[in-house]
Amino acid sequence: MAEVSIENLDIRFGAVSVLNDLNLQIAEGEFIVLLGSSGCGKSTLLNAIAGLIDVSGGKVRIGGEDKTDAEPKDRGIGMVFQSYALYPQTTVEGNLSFGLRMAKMPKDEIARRIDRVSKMLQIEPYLKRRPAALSGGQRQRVAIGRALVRDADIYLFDEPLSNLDAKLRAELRVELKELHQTIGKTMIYVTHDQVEAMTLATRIAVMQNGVIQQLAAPEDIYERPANLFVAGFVGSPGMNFFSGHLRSEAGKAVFAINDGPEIDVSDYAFDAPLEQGGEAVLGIRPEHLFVDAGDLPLRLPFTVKVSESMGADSVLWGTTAGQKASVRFGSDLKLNPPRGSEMELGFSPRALSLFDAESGVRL
Amino acid sequence: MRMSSEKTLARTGVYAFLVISAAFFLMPFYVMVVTSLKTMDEIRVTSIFALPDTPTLQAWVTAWQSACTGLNCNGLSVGFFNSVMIMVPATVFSILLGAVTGYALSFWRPKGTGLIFGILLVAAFIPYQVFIYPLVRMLSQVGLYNSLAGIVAIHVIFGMPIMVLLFRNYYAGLPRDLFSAARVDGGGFWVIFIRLILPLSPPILIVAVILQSTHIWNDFLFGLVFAGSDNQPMTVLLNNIVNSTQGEKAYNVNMAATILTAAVPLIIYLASGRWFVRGIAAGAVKG
Ligand SMILES: Nc1ncnc2c1ncn2[C@@H]1O[C@H](COP(=O)(O)OP(=O)(O)O)[C@@H](O)[C@H]1O
Ligand SMILES: [Mg+2]
Repeated sequence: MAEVSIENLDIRFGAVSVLNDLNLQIAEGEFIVLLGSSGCGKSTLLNAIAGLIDVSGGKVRIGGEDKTDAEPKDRGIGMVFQSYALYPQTTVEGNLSFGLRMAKMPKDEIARRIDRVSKMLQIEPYLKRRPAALSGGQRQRVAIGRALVRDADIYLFDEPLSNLDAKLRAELRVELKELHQTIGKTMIYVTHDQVEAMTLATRIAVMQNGVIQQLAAPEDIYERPANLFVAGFVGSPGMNFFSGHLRSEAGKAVFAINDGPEIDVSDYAFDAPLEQGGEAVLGIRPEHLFVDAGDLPLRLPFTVKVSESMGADSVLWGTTAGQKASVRFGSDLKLNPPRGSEMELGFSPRALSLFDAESGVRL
Repeated sequence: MRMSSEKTLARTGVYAFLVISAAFFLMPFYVMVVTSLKTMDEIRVTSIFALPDTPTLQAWVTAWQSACTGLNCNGLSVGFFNSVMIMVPATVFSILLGAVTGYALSFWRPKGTGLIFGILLVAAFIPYQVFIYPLVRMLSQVGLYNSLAGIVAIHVIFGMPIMVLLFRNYYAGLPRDLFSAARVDGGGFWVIFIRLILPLSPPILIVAVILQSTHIWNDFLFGLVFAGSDNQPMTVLLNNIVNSTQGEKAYNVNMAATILTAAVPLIIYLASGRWFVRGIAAGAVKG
């Protein structure tokens, strides 16, 4: 059994509190990604699960058992590090067998496991080489192999792909996803890369300043961000935010963009029924704004500043009622409006998000 | 590509400087060697720079086996073996202790690591003379005063600050993930030290061996105070020979005795200079 449950976890380094009363439940077989910018406490949380740092308060349960004070080796985990952390003085084979030899496993069982894992990861040709004689991608495969031979219930990854170049990163990302589908073990994966998070995760935990801002499936994170931080962190180009005022008027909900038009947001799926209005922020993703408005019910004015082609997609950067905005559309539209052009963009009430301006919480 | 003439000039200057400095530092050594190969009669009448007329090793033989140190006339040889008996265990134990402590402080970081480190740092800069009297009392309390074990223990204790600092700084430069990986793989304190950390330590081990062995060999004060008459190191015997007050000063024997005593650290430096620099550089870059 390999569910992980973190209860009221506190981690302090001296006077600095990095994690404070953090709770997280992970079911068996999940692929959880901890996503956040550098220094937000992702590695600290992962190390606490691994037993590599002392916990100041709270509990870590693995498979239902309290493992808060257990040694790393007694937690049924395998771990992969950003810097690969291969033992430099021994061969690939020596790296793979290091832990098994320490556990006094019989030789034939060690050989069997190394054989299986090195076939799975295609590292057989370099079993006799030292880590220094391998490329970055090969090293990270070996590091993954070293975690896999442990036959753990849970695999922990700390930014395993961030030292690799873009192409290799994409390749290994797919391999990792395939690996998860093949072995079906619980995986907890730390990254600051939202593409990795969106593609790999069954659920993403978006973190900021040691606090999990939202824990949800990638689609939910993307489409229904719980607050302004999550909305702004995920997506590229980032979500458009328009400040304004929200009010309830004759059974209708109306959002008035500062110095701009009023938008009827009655068809927006409010989290709680709108009682009284207030300062709010309307968020909409660049690809949910349409240059060709068609019969979309809602409209926004837009003034073009720069147009940018990114291959399959193009982006127009400009302003709406004086606030920064961007629109993304397929390059096949062959649209290249000159600077200063005025246009009308269409969008649907289902595609937008509304946040309380003060608390940042989704409305 | 051809070197510009300025560069050639600069290079010539550098070499000239190096040759002159080398000559300057080699001069006393030259005087010592030629003096040690002369007889006393010759020394009285010739310049100290003159080469010996009929070189003889007699002074060396005397220095090694029959020069008088006070009442004994057994030469330096006893001191040589005493020094070896002190240097080898003291070097080995101080390095092992320093390496293990440095490893514990950088990777396991027990509570109070900062405090321990601070104390060591301060201790490294306290003149050790102030500890001598209390240490004499302490060692005689536990029956180690005037014994081989006592002098070895003194060297190990006084070697700790520098050894711990050296190893801690070197280990601080090793990636911590390596240590974490070994812990996940099931390594405990000693297994990780022996199987992972020690194999990564040769550069700093070489530096430590050189520092400690030469330092311990060159020690005079601790040997004089703590070793006792049976274990007097070579430096103490050398002092007794050179400063013996009876009769005429035997310059040739004194020179030979001095070179013999200095030979061990000299050989260690010459044999390991390259590794020493490499190890220090590795430590500097990583630390
Ligand atoms: N051993 C430590 N001592 C003191 N502060 C630490 C230690 N480890 C991490 N921190 C601090 O905790 C915060 C979170 O670090 P970390 O979990 O490594 O962030 P992330 O992995 O999200 O980039 C950082 O501000 C970092 O400076
Ligand atoms: Mg990190």
